[in-house]
Amino acid sequence: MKFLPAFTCLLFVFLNRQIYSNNDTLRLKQHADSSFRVENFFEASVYYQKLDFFLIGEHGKNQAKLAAANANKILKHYDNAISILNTINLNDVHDSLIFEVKYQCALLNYLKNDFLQVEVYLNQLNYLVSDSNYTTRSLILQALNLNEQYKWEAAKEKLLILNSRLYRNDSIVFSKKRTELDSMYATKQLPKLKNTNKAIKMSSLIPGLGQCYTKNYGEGIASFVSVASSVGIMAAGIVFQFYFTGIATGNMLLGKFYLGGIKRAEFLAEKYNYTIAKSFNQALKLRIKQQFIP
Amino acid sequence: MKIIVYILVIKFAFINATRMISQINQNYEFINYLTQNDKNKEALFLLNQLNEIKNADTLNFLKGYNYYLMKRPDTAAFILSKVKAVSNLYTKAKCFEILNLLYAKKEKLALVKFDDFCKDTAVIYLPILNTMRAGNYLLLRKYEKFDSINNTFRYEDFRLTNEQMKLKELCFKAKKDYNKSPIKAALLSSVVPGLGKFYAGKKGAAIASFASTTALGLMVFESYYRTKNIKSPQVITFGTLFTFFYVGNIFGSYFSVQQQIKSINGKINNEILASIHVPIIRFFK
Repeated sequence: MKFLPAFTCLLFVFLNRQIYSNNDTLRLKQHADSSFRVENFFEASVYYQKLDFFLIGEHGKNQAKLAAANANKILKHYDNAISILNTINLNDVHDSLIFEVKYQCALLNYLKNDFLQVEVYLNQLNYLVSDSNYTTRSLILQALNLNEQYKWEAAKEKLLILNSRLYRNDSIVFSKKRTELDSMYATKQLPKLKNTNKAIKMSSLIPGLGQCYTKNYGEGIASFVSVASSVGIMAAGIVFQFYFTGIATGNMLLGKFYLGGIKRAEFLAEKYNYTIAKSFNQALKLRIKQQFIP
Repeated sequence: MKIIVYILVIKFAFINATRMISQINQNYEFINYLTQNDKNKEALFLLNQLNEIKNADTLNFLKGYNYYLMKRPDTAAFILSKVKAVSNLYTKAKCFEILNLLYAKKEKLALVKFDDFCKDTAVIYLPILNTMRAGNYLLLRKYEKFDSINNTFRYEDFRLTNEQMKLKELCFKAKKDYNKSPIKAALLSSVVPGLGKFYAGKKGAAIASFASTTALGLMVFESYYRTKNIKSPQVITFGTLFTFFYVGNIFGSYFSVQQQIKSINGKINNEILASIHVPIIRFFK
């Protein structure tokens, strides 16, 4: 019984210590991590941002920001993730952090189909990060982005660089991958894109020809018949002395069908290019993944 | 020994209390940070976690404010109305509640809410409240009541002067544009096709209507002139088309003015709302 006051003293000292040592940021991190583990990504993102807000050390803050951006990436809140990453201060930091931030920004833009922004971030990455170990890791993304911009030759070059950097010591694997890349990007395999300007010019010259050029023969014939009918109405009006009716109606219809046909040819050429390139890139993406991502 | 235990107990209680207060303040700071950085969903998520902010009025104000930033005026007004009169945030909450009610097109209800301010508050905030009330009357197009408040404007407070003048200008505009009549437009179009649209202020559409109806009229005339038979297929075809265009143009002019009134009123209302909104932001910044 006489030890009770001493025991009480020790208990309070222990509890006091608990308050100071078991600090808030640690609990926030644990909460955020556990939310992430149970796939509650929104909560995890909020708590990582809270952690970033309360932390003082730059390193911890950056890690919290990266984790918050990752949670947002999984949630497909790409803009949120990019805005979080862009708040990371990249002055006087290690290449690994610069690489992580710029690479993630590029990847997020790739996921939201903003390919020009991907190029911007990858250029920044190549400029700011001097260590080739890091830049090698971004080559696949560079190639995929170039594929989406229909620059297949440049994409192949990037993958060849990647191949030489990854398998320079293993000649068998190197030559195998090289052959695979050659077959993937063989000229015969590449989609033959239609020239939009050519389609416009063809439709301007002979109505419907632009549509036929984009392999929409039915539409091409319909366009030609429509324009010919408009001219026919005009001619009939003149022959049967319905001058005003013939010229006014014929002109109005001709204008609509002729100009509409040109615009339609332009649209069809773009649609054709998009469809054919999309299916080709989809297949290409899978093969690149098989070859270079373990 | 007993004294030491007492001191430790008091110290422990004190540390716990200060820690709780600081944690609440920190949470408030973080939620404020989220609110100011357009992360309203995240802020609301934290506000809905009961342990983040204990004070119910602060909680309701922040929730309402975030809903207001998320452009959900109905919910914002409802939550802001829960802030009690004893709270420091009451006046601000009430002003934002009225603003949200106006955005939710509940002008009459907003007008009633001005009575919720106590006399002392009403005296202190008289200039801003009068500006808001004047805007509210203008949204309801009660010009006399607007004028009675407008006459009391002194144009002395730099935070309000521009908007007070703007409200006056908008009042003139609303009175002027309200005079156009859809029936007059329809009658004008029946006399000269396209004239009704010209009256509505759509010059391009007026020329197009005039040209198409006249062209069809000429086609009917030409058909009759050539066939000399009113029952000929050409006359019937073009005659029917002409009738469709002519009648359609009359209806078109009627709806065009109606649409124009709606669009001008919508534009004026938006400007009125902005003239109420801006001073509130300036006042409570």
